[in-house]
Amino acid sequence: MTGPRAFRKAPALALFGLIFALLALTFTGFDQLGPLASEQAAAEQVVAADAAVAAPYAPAPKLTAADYPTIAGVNSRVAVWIFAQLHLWFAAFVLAVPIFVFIIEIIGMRTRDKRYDDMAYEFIKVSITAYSLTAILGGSLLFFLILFYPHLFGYLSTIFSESMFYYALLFFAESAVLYIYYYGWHWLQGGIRKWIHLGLGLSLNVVGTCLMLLANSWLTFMMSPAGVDAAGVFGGDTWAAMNNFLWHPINIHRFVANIAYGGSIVGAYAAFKFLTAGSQEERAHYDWMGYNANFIAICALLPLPFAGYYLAAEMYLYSQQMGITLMGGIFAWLFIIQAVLIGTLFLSANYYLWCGMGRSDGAKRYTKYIKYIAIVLVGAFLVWFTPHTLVLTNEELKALGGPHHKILGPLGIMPAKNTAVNVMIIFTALSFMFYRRANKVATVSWVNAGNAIQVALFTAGILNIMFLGIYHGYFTNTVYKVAASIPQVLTTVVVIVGSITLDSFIYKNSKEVAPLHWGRIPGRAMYALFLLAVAFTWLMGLMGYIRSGIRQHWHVLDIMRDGSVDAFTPTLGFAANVVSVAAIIFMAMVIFVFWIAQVSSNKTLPSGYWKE
Amino acid sequence: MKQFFTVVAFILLTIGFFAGYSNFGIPQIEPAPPPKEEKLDLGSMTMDQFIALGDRIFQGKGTCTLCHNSLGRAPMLGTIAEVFPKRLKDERYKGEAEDLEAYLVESLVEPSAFVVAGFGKKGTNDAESPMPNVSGGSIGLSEAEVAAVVAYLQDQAGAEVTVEIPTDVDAAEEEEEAETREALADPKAIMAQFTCDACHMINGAGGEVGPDLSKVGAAYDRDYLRRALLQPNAEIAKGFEADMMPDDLGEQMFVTELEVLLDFLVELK
Amino acid sequence: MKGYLLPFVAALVVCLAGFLLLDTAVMAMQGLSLIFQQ
Repeated sequence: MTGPRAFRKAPALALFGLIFALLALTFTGFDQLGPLASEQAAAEQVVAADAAVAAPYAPAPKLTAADYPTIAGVNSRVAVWIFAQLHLWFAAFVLAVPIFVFIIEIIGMRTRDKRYDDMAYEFIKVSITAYSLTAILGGSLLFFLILFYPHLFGYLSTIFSESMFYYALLFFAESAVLYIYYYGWHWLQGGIRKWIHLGLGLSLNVVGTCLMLLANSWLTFMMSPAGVDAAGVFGGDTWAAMNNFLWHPINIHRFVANIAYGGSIVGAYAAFKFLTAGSQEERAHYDWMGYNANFIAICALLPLPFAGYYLAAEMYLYSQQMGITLMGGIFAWLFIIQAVLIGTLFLSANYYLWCGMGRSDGAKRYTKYIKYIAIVLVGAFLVWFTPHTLVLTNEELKALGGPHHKILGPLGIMPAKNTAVNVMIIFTALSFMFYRRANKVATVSWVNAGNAIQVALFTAGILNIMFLGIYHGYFTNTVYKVAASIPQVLTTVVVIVGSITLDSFIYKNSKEVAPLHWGRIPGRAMYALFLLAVAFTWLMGLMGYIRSGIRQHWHVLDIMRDGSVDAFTPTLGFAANVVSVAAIIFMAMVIFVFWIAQVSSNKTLPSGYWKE
Repeated sequence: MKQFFTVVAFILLTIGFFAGYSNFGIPQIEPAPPPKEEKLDLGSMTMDQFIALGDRIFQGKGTCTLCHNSLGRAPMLGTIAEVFPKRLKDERYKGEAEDLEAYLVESLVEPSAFVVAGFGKKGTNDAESPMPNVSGGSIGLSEAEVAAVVAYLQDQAGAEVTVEIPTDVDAAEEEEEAETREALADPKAIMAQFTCDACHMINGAGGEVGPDLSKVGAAYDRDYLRRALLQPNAEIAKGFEADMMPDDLGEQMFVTELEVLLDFLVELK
Repeated sequence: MKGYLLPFVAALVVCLAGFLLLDTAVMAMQGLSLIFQQ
């Protein structure tokens, strides 16, 4: 079948293409980015000299507890935290959906298979209500910032006045495009109209991405301020403030993570519709939709650890103190929680794949290997999850009983973790390979040799990863340790790309065992999709807390201190509780969104109500 | 409908698991509170407050207690009010002070003006003091801070405090009070506190920015190691770079921690 | 079995060599050798 196969390759390729384009743009514009400290200092001197003559911007205000209003007895930090996080979750969702809807629409146009077009439309329909909620939460967040943190907001809005102005105006463009795109879906069909419609989809993505980029610059400014001097006096150049050190790392990480997240939320939608389906056709339809959504989520999940690693590396580069606080200090245990969540994501995604193999009549050939993959994944997860040295103050040391984890210290260092994550990614790709192969019978003459080469490729790749991780991790110095992580990653990429390419040759003109039995999947597999969505949500909440929390007692790092009573860093348990409460509120809102998507097509015919 | 409630229950259970793990599965460490920012407002300070400031500088930034303690590296200062007149008359006195306040200031910024017998640098026959000029280099006390220390010393010695609180606010730096912590007693904890292993390797663990310390006790004596800790740029080991090691450990470590650490290092053979 | 073992061994050798080459090249790009030299 050309349809599903084309689909499976195209979004993956499109996704990597988009990421590559973004990375290319980043690195070709490299000299525009993160200016050298010396250059920045020189530039600031010039700017400061001009500023002394020209417009007088005030330094960052020094605040005391009295400068923070209390309203209705609400804890301002928790209020802003929850609303910011809710806004982020919905924003991630409404930015992600247009990305894969765009890709799915293209696939529909190429294959002329209407199912894709209908699925794309269904995804957009789900996100329309989410779009309103994103805006409502954004507006509430803005109000709360102004009410609870007026001086901070005053300071930031002075610096970002221009970008905030255009941000506000862009929403007109976003709304206009989205509404025509959605409401005009069935009007703009066929011929040139379909191309216009696709163009609208592209515009929607461009505008949405611009909005994200603008907002990202404000929060990265708070972490890695630029365009202001040491006292916080603005130099007058908004672009300098926007284009700060951490802007692009956050942009990349959020772009990729949004896609993974959006896929998982839509997957949860499909999972629920599957469980409540009334007919075999409906079940088949939502099984298919869930599979596609999960595929999108996994494709974006695979490069995500690297985007995150890049972000953390840039944080270290910007401020070693911030980097050490992040991973070696008080937030280190948070990354253990993160590890548990990522492990959950990987195990969940793989479990869904394994259950899905039942759709194929030919899957029995591969089921015997699954337990080995499961063992490796769990083992890698345990390594991924062990902590190492914790740099803490004396009180914190006393509570922990020492700076090292007693038992598993050696497994806690970065080389071990890099090895573990690369292994997890390779084995997830392997699960995927089995899934893809399950329904095919190769017809080429050299299939045995081909399979042998595949096994050799994977074996060599895994051995190489272990070699780089163990030898360079434990028998060399720090410089080598860090450097060895690059060939490790490249090995993973080579294995994945190589095995996909090789398989495409092995299975050229292959026979189908039988048409896939969409809908033939146990109900418990749907719970893997729910778990994926919930774990993703909670993980995002946790990461959002870390990103904001590592600023500790600063509103703007090293420039504007947090003078409020809430300037202290809370315990991890407290943070986890706030994230959990927010996640429950979010889930309730999402259920509302899904319900609305469905209710609009419900019709009640009240007999005798309307006059004849 | 039943499906709906099952799914909701599953979601709540999952979130509950993550929250539960974060609350009970990992140690609940109370992070240290934000450091207090202290703004010096000399204009409105009382003499008691000024003396207290001098005390804090003496214990902290001034690094005075590193040497002026019962371990005998420097003279004790409690009797200074009684002994100083004799010193002013001593033939070895090279300074120009005529009262206690002037003598104390001079001792801080020109310590070699008079070196108490037996405390001079080795080989100089008590002509040169091992004490640095506190207004320069790594200690860098401002005029106002020197005045505060002098006021403190006069008060400690039981003499009349004759120092005037400077009115020039710019002369005094804003002081940030370090987060209060207790002195650590375990050398490994001290090394963790000051992240020594970020740069130094000991028995295979640690970084490579600085020399390997695994056998440093066999190669160097206690005095060398003390200097290496407090004045790292005094001598750079072969193959390593200057200006890498923090030169303010003396301000950050408690004296007891320094000695504990030295005890540990001299045993590394 | 023969049709499997030979290609497997051959491919394994080739892949291992290829990966080692990749490792050496990437480490060299970072100014380092593959094997640790102090």
